[in-house]
Amino acid sequence: MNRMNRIFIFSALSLALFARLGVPGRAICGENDASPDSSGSYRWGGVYTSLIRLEENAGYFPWNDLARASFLTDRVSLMFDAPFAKHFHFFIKGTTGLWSRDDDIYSSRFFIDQGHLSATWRDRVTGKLFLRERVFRNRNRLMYLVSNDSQLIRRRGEGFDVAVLTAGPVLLTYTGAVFRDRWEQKQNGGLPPLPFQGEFLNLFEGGIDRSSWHAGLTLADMRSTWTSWGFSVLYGLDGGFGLADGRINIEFARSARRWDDFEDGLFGLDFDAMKWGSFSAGLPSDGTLAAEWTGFAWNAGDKGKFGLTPGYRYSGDAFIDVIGEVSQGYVESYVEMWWKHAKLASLVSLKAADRYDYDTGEGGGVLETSLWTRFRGGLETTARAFFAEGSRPVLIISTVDDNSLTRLLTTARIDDTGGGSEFSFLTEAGINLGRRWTLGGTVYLERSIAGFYSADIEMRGGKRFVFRASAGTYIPVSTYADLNYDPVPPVTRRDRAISFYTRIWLGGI
Amino acid sequence: MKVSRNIRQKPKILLRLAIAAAALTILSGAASGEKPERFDGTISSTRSMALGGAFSPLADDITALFVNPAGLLNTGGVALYADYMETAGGSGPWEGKLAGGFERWGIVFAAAGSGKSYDDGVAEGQLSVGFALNVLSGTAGSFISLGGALRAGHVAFDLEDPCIPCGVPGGRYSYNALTADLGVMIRPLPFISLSASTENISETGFGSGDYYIPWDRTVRYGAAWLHEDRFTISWERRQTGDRETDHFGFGLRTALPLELMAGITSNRVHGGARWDGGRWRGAIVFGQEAENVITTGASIEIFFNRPARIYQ
Repeated sequence: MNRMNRIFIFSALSLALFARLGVPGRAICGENDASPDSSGSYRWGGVYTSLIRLEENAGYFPWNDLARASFLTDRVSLMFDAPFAKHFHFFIKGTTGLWSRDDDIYSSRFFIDQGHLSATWRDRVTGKLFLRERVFRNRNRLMYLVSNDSQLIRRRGEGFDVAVLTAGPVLLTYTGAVFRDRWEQKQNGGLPPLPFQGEFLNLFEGGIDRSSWHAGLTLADMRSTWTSWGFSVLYGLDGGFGLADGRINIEFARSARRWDDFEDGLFGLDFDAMKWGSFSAGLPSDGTLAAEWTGFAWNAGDKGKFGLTPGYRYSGDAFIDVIGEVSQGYVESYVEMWWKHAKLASLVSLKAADRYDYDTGEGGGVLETSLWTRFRGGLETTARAFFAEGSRPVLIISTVDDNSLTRLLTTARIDDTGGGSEFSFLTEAGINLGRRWTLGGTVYLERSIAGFYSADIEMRGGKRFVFRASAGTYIPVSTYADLNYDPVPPVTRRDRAISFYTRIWLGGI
Repeated sequence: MKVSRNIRQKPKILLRLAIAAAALTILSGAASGEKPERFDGTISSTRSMALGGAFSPLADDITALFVNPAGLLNTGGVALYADYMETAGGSGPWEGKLAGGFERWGIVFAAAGSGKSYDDGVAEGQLSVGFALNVLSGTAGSFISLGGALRAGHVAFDLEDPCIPCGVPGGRYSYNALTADLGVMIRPLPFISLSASTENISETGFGSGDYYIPWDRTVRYGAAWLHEDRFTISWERRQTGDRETDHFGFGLRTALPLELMAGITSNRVHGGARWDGGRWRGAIVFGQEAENVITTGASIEIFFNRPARIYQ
């Protein structure tokens, strides 16, 4: 508890100190009327968050006082944001309370968490020095070759980023970054060390975007100074053009350990292996391909509106996905059809797919159908059914009722597992008690076996204060989405706890 | 309140239906084996099941007779109720209920019959006749109501192995018992409801000696919050024998005449939906009895001269 007290006192003092120091800044900002062209304006912000969590243990619950079952996690974040001379922008954020999963150590030191210094020239050239920001973009439409949530990039490195927009319009971007383990953020007050060690990424993307067509290129090179095998390279090509009110997009990429490892030319195609019905046999195992005809629709007047989206996906089992979110080792061809009623808010969709998974060697036809309807008063219902070859069907019915007074999400799901049906049921309710208070609760039955609940009450004091007290036997973070969209129902860990969360904002960010 | 001749005749029909339902269930038992350990006196209506059992403080239909007769005051006119429930997709016990009620002289009268059949041949049935009256009425919907009921229980089972030392031969046995229920419902404010009720006041049982089948008394008390006629949150604590359970439920009435409900008790989740069509109401519900054991049910209610106040 002593350590918690120290953290809390330090956090509160830091926040108070910065609030005091921040007063002149706000005055200057006010004098200059915060014009974006002003060279003297700046903004600051401070956020204090704390979470007190009492977990169930063998002793008393909920009012147990065993230290190992009670946690205080709090942090102070201070932000400073300043545009300089129209073309420059500076942002820095410092914080306490870094939780490192790598070494399982909670730090109360104040350190620089993220920041950037950017410059813009005539809206055509931008450059940015960044520290642990989510700056990575993805120019593709179908495949996430680059993603801020990927295995490597989610570690949030530091580096620089340049983008040039030329006539055409052609956009050329380059990002160089180095990624380190999270515990290193606590070293040197959060300042980045010299870039001699870590995982280095060079990412180049270029493309031209016209109204009727587009084309582009992605090149990536990743190397690690820590491991001898930590190398990965990737190149991708993408293009698309308009067709019959829709758009055909085709994206292709290959990856390997080194640039020398690529074989069989640019695309690695084996035309001899390609046969009718087995197109993927001629595609490289280190490649991925996505193609889709998107946005084609036909308006049939009183009969409603029809749409059609055929597509194809392939991902070789040797494709290395470090900087993106591309599933490995499958081939799928699909067609999605939908019909929208001419007058009613009702939509029927049907997706038929043929999928094969290289890892499991399993595959077959998959049929997904859904009926979405919105009723008068705002109630929405969706009924979905999944039929997969070789497995039993899945039926999901969900409702959403959202208005100024209440909010209710309900999902009932039946998975026929062969040995008997598994029934899952989730309801999430929220009720507004005036302008400041919100009462919420969930009840969840998982696979006819486990029952969970949670309840919370939240108070918002203007725009600068939030307090939430919650209790329950699980944490309902993504249960609704998992239950509605995952092919298999989720498996939830029992996590009985009472928690108190507080968030305080200061400043103008 | 004026009651037409047709409506006056309906209570008799209801009573007959209730008796018929109970008798039918009791007689439907298959081959059995042993004497049941105890008599399960608690009865769930569909809405009660959907709310996880947290029903007594906001009982608003004729099935209030099962848990808190004082809640009958929330009904009115003439109402009929029928439901069917089965467990584990029909491989477990099933039960059916019929209930009906009417209002006369400011008192609401109701009768109900229920039957439950287990897969080992044990059959249970109950027949209840009860009333509710308004003791105190305040402004804006506050009131205190009292209710009472006479309840007859019946249990039947087959004894395959005779007990020679006890002098009890094999065969089919059946026992009856009579008891009473009492309940009170208090609405100090239109949006707060408090309740207390006792089921099987005399804590009677069936048979005697080694073949005594206990029927535990059940005491319920609870509270509910009824928010702007849209949202209800309810809690009920139930003591049956030496077992005490808490029940939590909530229901939300959508813009459609559809109420979605959910509840939980002892980490067992319940839920369901009820459609209110004006002259009738239909519900489908489920409740988790144990791991991998789900009870599902459906009910229908029909109203004659339904007053507008049947809402909470």
